[in-house]
Amino acid sequence: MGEQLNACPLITQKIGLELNPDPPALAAKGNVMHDGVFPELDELRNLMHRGKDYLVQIQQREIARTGISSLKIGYNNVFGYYLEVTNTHKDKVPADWMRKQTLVNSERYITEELKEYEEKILGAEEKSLELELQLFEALVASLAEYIEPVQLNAKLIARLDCLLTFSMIARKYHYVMPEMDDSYQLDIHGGRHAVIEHQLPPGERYIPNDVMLDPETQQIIILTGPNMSGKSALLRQTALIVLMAQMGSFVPADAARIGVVDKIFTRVGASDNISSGESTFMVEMNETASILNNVSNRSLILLDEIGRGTSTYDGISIAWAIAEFLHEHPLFHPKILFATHYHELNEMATRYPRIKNYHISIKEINNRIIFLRKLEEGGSEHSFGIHVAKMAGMPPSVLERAEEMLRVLEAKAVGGRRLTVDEKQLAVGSRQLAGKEKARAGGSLSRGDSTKGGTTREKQEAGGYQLSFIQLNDPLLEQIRDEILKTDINTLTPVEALMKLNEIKKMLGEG
Amino acid sequence: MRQYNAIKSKYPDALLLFRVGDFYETFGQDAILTSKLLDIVLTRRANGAATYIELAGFPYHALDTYLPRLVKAGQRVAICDQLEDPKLAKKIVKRGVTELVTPGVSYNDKVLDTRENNFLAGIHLGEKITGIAFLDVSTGEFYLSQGSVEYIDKLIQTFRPSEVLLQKNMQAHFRTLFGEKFYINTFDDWVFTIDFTQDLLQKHFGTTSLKGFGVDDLPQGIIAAGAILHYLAETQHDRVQHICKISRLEEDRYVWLDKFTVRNLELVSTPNEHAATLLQVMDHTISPMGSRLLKKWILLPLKEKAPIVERHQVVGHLMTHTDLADLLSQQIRLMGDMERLISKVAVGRISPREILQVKRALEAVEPVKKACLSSDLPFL
Repeated sequence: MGEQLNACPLITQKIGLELNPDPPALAAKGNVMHDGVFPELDELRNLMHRGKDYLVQIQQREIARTGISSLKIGYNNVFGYYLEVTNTHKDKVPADWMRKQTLVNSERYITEELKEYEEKILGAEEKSLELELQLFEALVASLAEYIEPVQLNAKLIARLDCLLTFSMIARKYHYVMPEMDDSYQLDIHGGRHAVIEHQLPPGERYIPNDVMLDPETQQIIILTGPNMSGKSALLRQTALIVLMAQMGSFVPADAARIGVVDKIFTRVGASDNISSGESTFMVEMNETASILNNVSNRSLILLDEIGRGTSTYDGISIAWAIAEFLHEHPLFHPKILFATHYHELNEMATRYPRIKNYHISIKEINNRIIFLRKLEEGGSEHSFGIHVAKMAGMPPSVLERAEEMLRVLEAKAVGGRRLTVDEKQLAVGSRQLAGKEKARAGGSLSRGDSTKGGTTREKQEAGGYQLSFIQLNDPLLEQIRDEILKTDINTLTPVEALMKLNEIKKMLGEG
Repeated sequence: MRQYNAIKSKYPDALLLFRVGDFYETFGQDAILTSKLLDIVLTRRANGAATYIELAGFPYHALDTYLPRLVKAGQRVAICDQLEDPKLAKKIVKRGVTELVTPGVSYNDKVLDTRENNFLAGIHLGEKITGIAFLDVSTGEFYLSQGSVEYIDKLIQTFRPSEVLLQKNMQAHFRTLFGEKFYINTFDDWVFTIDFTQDLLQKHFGTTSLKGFGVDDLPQGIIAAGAILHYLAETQHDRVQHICKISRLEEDRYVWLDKFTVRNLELVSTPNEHAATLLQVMDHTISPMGSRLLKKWILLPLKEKAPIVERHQVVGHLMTHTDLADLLSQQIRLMGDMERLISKVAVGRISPREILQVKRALEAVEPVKKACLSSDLPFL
């Protein structure tokens, strides 16, 4: 790098020699070039100074001649140099002066002599400005020959600056040098989140975690844990560590061994993107589809609660199918971290050899939870969403009801074993899909279409289950449903709509 | 007024600042818009028999304050100056547009953010392969590439051009592909032809082929790059010798980060008001050049082992040799924005003080060079 740097001594000398060491901000103001370098410029400048000296002489002489002690020489843009006489001395003004302007307490005069010198001074000033501008432009032109070396310097200095910054933050924030190799593995010890660790309140320490991914043994980690426990942070910190390492920086970890990664995908189950106007679930599925079409052996994929934008069963089904697809991919085994709060997905670890369960530990004391934020092997049972709601200050009546509902729903799912049956059917279905996928990939058809087809089919299948979930065999509800179905919204006026609503309400009241 | 109309008709989609004596004036719709954007008074003046025209203006020396605000508001601004000395002119002073300032083409320090590049993008939407080129006229960086729509989308996300040049009939198509929030300018199809653009590029670089830049096999990219040069000429930017090379953005040199990932990881921007980005945490660079490069490094991480390891070694070396690190940071601190200053030299907009800064920067290079050469690390 040193050899390529070029200090361009010739041009710096030239600038040092020719340019005024304290130049004005604008070239047009003059006084840009150094004295004593350009004889012609020096001469003009001399003339200007001499002329101004001469003006002082005129002033002194006229004071002596007329006895006007307060006589001043001034200048303005309208009529150039003038003699200013205060009203007290007005009577002493000689006859050869011409009055130009009368002010409240003074009068301004010009003389032949004054005008003559004015011309000389102004002429010299104009010429010197013009000359200076020319000389300055010549200097700029000679500097323009150095554009290429200076650009190269700038580039190299920028590199140095960045590397210097990396070394500075490495020392300041205790980063370590990652070990890079050509394997497909990723092994991080004591990894931290580069951004979040700076935003913690003072005194609080970011809890470091180990993450190991290996396409041979531990290709996919299903990460469960309650809301707020730090699943997303763990996912992102893994991506950031890889990114930082590959941009040349040290990384926030105790040690890291990174097999070079070629693509990083992160997908977050949409939930709060209403302002953009698109159906969030559609966006989420679009984004995910593009991953499934672009994976490679060196890819790192982070999926954060994919599928949460839809109903529970839809969500579980889609998440399951995606994980399965990536595990069973005929050509590539990308590395995947999959955060979810569907603990149903933990079942996958028993069926697929390279899927492993992890969870982020919490402690439950007296019905309250403490986040330990430590990654541990094995799945987790509960989402603790209700606990989080409690921490957020929901009214106790709502929380009580929520816990009640949770017990009912859980009992139903376990009692009927319905969920597991569904899942098995689903698993078979998506395996067929994956099979088709393989066949198509083999036939080198456009895989984009087939995957999109896959997800929509998935949705349709799952949609059937969702319907059965709300199918209540109550004749009254069926009646209401029919009532709603036969209503043509397009021809309904607002008043009619209200009346309809009232009708439905009445039906319920009677029932 | 006839002169005004003649000039305005040549730049119908630009806001015309018309120099009248010591003022820049705007008329009609332009005036209404300008007074709103700049919060200046809108007046009217008589225009022939019994009609009035809206008028808003500001003194010429206030141009530096007002121009950036107009450009930042997404306006193309044509500056029309008096081309002859009013003292010498017999009737109406000859006037002409001396500069067309657009969001993507600007040297003005007040429009530009020193810690960010300001890219102008040229895009040639093809049937299968789309060509793209990026130019930061303030630093002279010029890149081109071509590839699938997905890849182009990713590049657009990475470089975030402040202005995009397109074929005229592709505007709607472009918006459906890449979104609405771009400032777009269009040209007729004849500009987007390989013969015209290749010729333009070769003439600009003074070469007989583009082989030397390693881009001759990217016809779509060349068309996009040529469209950018054409645009510079159209906007009266003819002194651009600081753009002395064009480089190829190679798809396979960098880690693939699509736009969702860049967004999700909050690398350089975040939708949350109080959240910090990775860039904010990492950016302790000293010079504006370093800051701009760091942003590029974050968005374009490497995927080959050797250059990554090379960077790690330099970082490790600088960590243990603190005296070297101190010397480097001291010298770099003296350099200022060398890169943008030298571009100003090329376009002849450099002030005497800035020339002095170039000198200081170059003088600071010497100790850095010496320190690098005497280091025992081969990469320095």
